[in-house]
Amino acid sequence: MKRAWLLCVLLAVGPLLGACSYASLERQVYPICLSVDLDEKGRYQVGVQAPQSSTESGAAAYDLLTATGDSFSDAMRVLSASTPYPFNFSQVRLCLLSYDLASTTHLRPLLRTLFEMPSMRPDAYVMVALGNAAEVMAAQKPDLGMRLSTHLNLLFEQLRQESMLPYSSLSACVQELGDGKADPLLCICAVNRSLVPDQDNSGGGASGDPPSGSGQSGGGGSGADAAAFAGGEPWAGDLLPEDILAGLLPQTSVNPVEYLGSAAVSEGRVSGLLTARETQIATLAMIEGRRAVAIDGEQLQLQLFLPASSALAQNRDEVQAVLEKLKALGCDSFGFGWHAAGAFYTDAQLEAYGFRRRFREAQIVTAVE
Amino acid sequence: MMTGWFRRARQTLSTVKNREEAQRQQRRAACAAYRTLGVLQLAAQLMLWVTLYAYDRLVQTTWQAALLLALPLAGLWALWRGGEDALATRNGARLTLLLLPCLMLDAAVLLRTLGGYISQLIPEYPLWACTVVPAALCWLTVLLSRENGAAYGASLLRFLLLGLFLLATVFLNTNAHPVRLWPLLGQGPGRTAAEALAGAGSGWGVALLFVLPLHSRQSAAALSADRHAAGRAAVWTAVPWLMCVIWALWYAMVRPWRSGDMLEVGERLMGLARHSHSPLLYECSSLMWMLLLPLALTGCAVSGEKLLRSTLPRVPRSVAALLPLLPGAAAALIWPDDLLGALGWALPWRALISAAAGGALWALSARKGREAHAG
Amino acid sequence: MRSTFFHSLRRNQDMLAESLNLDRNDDIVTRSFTALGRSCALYFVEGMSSGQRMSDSVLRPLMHAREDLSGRQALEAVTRRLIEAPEVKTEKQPYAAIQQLMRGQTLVLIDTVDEAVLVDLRGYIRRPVSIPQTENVVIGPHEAFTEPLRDNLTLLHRMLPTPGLICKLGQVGTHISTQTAVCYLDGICPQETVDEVQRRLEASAIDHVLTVGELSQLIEDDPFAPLPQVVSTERPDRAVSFLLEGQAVILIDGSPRCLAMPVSLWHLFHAPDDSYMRWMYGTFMRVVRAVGAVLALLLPAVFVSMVIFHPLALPMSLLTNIIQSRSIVSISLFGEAVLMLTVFDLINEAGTRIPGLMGSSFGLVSALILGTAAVDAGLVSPLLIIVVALSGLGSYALPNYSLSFAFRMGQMALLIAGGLMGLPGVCLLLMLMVLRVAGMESLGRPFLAPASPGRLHNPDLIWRGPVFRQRLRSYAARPDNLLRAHGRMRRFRNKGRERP
Repeated sequence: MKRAWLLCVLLAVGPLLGACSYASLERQVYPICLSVDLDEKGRYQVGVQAPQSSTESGAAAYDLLTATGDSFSDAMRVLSASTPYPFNFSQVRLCLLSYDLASTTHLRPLLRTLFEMPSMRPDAYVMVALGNAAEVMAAQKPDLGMRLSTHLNLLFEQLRQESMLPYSSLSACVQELGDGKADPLLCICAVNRSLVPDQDNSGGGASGDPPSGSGQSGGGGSGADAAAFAGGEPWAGDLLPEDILAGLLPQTSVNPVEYLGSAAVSEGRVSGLLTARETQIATLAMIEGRRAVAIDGEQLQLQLFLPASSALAQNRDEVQAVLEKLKALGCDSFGFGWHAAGAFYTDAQLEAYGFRRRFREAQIVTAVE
Repeated sequence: MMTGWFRRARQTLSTVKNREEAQRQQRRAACAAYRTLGVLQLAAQLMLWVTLYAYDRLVQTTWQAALLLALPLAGLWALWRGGEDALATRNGARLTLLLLPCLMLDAAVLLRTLGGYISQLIPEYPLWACTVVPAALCWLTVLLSRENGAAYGASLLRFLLLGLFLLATVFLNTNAHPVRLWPLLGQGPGRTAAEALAGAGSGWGVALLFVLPLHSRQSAAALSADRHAAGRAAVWTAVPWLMCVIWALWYAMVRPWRSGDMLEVGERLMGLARHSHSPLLYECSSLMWMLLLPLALTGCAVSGEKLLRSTLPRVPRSVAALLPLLPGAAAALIWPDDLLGALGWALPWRALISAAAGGALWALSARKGREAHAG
Repeated sequence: MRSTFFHSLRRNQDMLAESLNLDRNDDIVTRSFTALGRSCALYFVEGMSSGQRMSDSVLRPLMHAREDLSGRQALEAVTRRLIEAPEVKTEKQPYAAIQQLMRGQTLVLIDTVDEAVLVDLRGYIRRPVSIPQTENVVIGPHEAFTEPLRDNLTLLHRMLPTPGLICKLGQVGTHISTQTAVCYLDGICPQETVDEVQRRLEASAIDHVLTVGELSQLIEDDPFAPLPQVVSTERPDRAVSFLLEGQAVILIDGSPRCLAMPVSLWHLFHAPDDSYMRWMYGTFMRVVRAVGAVLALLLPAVFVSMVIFHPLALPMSLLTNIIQSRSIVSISLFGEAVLMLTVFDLINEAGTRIPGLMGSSFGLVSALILGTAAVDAGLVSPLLIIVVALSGLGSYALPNYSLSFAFRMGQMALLIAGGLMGLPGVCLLLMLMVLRVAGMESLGRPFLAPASPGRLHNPDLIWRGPVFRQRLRSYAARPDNLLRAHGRMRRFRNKGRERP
């Protein structure tokens, strides 16, 4: 009996002892931000921003590591091979995708790949960088002596409370893109060129100045032009924070990267941009409004009912304009597709109706109840 | 009755006034502990059925299939109500051997799930270690916890597990929305009912814990005379069923992955929690599985041990506890990838075996009842 | 040895000389004298009997007796008229008489009498009743048991002046017996409990039992279990509380502690202070103690497993602090934790054994070595010192000495499981521990009762309810006498009724 006990103990303990080959804490890299770009040849450029384990001054400092590959997985393998320690993505706060990449059909599979990466933090924010994502990531500097992760957490929390940031976590984006019945709104971010020394500030975007003629976005380089946002109209009048996109705020701070506005996703790719104000309206309306779908034969009506106590009730026209813009971009961020499903009993009936096809021609009605 | 309850709550009155009443209370408490273990085991099987099998096939109508499981679970309840006297006999105990394959299948599901989940949490560990270690530790637990330790321990942990379950579903802080339940019929009621059949056998391995004689035949008869036994037996079946329905409902409202996605076992188990806005709640979900699954596996081993020793008293306790675990452990080690797929076609057969055993036990119970009535 | 004494004094003396090794043993004093016209001999162990009382109560009355008696008449005269002592008895069996002699009684042999007269004139050196050493309280009695069994029984009788307090004396030890006493309250303690305790004591086939610690290992249900199934206490008030709950208390001569059984895990967890304070203070302290218990058992294991295997739940600032603090440490986190816990236990043990004169410098040395030098040398990180210190404090908060040891051992086992297999390892081993404890029994009763399996009980597990809400005795008491009080306890609140 004693030998049987010993055998049991060995059976239980042996595999434990034989399999303890984990990497210790200080021999892993914990990236805070991750960026993905597409270069001119269509190759993936992956970058990570990770804190240094110790610095001479004691202040937080970050290293930027990048690698290039034919696919995202290849780029990650190159990155891992060129780093002495393995990556642990459990502390990632921000996944930056360049606008050029996000506006392609690579967006959906890339997000799924990111979500399924070992140890990836599911509540990391996904943002579209106007310009080169790696440059935007490199330009990030935490304010007020904070750590970068704390800075991002607090800033995002504050923007969310003001409804200026849609909830575009990695898990939420994958969930919505996977279902196909709604589309996410992705946050956008850009570098404010006026705050970056020795940068080419041509084409506007300087602090306090409205962009001229071409209405260049704050990203520079091969970023989106004015036609991608605000209906193609150049900026005019007073510049309030709500009226503009990231990268154009008339402000000075340590951190030159701004997180305002959103990118509308349609059919698995970014189809257009919303200003900060439009994003705020859309986010508030999604929270406070009640959605409904009326199907009358071939006619599809998308209804949004705002409570009388809501601040949006006095700005119905703006709400209507935002909804029309989203419809034009083919982005069902309000989830009308889900409400349309309520009009059918089976999946086959819903498929036969073809809500996606009819969405762009649907009539939008906003009302106060 | 209300006054009595209130006075007992204020402890101005005790129902225990003599030794017989004290013994009756002790037996009732012991039975309640075993039923708690059975509830946890049943809840684990039902939740795994949703996660590993039903959600992929039914998506938003998974909760409807869970509702349909009320029918086979009602059969389980009827067995407990009417079958205790019959099962206190040697013939009755032998008939429960029919449920042994169900028990082995339950253990196989749990072992494969545990192994895959631990492998997901700690990728450095090989899959075989993640299967062998929990199996060995659960077996050791059964041996070291003596006769009733597993049941009493489960009774102690019940509220903790219930709290973790609520944190893993209702309070998970995910983007769960009732609109995702539409279209309401999904792929049609026929498909929903057909897939529910696979889940119908999830609970029958547990039946053993509820009906095996814990004490002498006289005490079993004394238990069945309790006029509140019917209500209590309904609670023991209703709780895991409700947990299954809530679990399936949250899966349908969150839609953690698309039907057809090739996911590992560990990714499926944490699929719901990965959509939580809070990393702390994610860890709570992990904790729930890491307590529930080993406890359910221990329950399987305890069920097998008591079943075999009631029918074959000469079998040593260590061997009797090992028997339900061995086939599952061997299958999980040899065919880890094929095992989950094989479960897909094996589960409906478990329902049929369970129905056959339940029917035979019910017939035996009815015959015993007629004999008692005639006598 | 014969089963009875001889009638002849000389033959009795020869028998005793052989049994007592009088040719080698200088501690036993023999006094021969004449009384009632017969030769007599008096035996006592030097230092155990009072010489003055011996002279006054035995020698003088006997020597001054002028009668000439023999046999039964002499015995009756000696025991009923002549010896002036409160406790006088006779003993026919030489073995039993010798046992009593070795326990301090004075033995008198009379020629023509085939029985020995035993007189209780014990007057050996005793330690006075002092304050408890290991179970200190702020509010409450400050008396502790001492070594003599008689004194301990006296303490119990003083606190429970009722004829229902039954003390059954017995002996344990096959070669050198030790006197034991099984105490219980008649009408409250079930007879099965007393019978079972007696049975286990009588079935202990050991040559000698020195302390209650040895005795507990002989009579408890599972000596290989991680937790003790009897409570050992040095406080008479605590022993009385066990008696009032229907438990049996075992005392042994020579040990300043008593055993109580049957007990549950909650008895190990409760401190005497809880009952003496107001109920909310008692509850608060129990909650603090519960937190300490959880910290003691789980903190090192959870910390190590979270940091190594599951950093997702840790804030980045904490993770960075850990990485920075460990940047100069040369050993792994798991190895560091094991080392720190081992050193902590080493300091604990050394602190217990070190002579009192060196005690004051011991704390300074250990603090310097661990707190400063080890960190500067890069052997340990400051954060882990805090973790180990917190878990150590948690184990010290446990009132039961054995329980704190069990928690420290469990802490190490869980740390190893967590360090090797992360949270799954911790959960699996924790489940094994919990179910192991749940399966334990104390005198056949479940160890986790009344929590699991459920029993009707007072609000007195973690939450301590007011005393007027605690109407029930424990599940160990007689079922027909479970209620402590009928009706209200605070009757001054009765309205319109006669005030007591």
